[in-house]
Amino acid sequence: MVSLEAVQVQEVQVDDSEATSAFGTKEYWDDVYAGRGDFPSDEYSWYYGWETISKYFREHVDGSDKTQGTNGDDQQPNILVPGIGNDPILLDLLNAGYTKITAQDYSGRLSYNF
Amino acid sequence: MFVPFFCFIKEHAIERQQDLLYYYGGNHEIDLYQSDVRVLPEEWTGQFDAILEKGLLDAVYLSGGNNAEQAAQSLVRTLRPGGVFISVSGVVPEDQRKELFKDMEWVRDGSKDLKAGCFIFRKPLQDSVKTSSPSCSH
Repeated sequence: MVSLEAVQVQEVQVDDSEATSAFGTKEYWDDVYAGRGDFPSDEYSWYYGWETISKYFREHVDGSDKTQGTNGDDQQPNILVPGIGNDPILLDLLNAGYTKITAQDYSGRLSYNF
Repeated sequence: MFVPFFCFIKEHAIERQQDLLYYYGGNHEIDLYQSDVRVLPEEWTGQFDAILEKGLLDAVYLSGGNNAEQAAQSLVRTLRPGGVFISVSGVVPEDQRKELFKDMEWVRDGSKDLKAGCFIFRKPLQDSVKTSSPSCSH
């Protein structure tokens, strides 16, 4: 079963008036995830994905060897994935056995008006 | 604007992640937050064993000002001492990256990676300010 522990939203106000690229503006990213941008809105993995990152993750994150253990979640590393966007790496982390994850992004639905 | 009731529009990043997790199913405890990375909650201080960011610092850097400094400080604050920060990044200039993470132990310098660099930093166990010239070990 799916249990989203919590979904917290707050309107995020950012000052990107000094942005040096469209990539640095919230409007750009809101548009991407709404299907109006230059990248797929369903999912997109920036640069490269778990196939490349996993070896570093397993080598350097303490507790990586405990994800398959039976000791419960308290043995799991507590992972933060900021700027998650529509990156499927959350699913990769879940598939790899990590279950204690917090993900964050500044792009959300609240800025959208019909 | 009239929106038919069956037109269930999923907007933006957080909602997209909700979709992905819904289709994934299974048991997990995933918290999703919409927030400003420069001002992460105080109660997150020292809470995380690992941070994995892909392109976030790059986008924040491109937003100008001192946003990258604020974001890096905010993220490092949420790491426990000894925690690991994995940063996949290709836009932040290397001299600025050295400044942003000068108080971190450089576990892996990704600046020579062919694609975006995979940088790995570890938060020191004690608040000893390191004079770091990044050294890399692959």
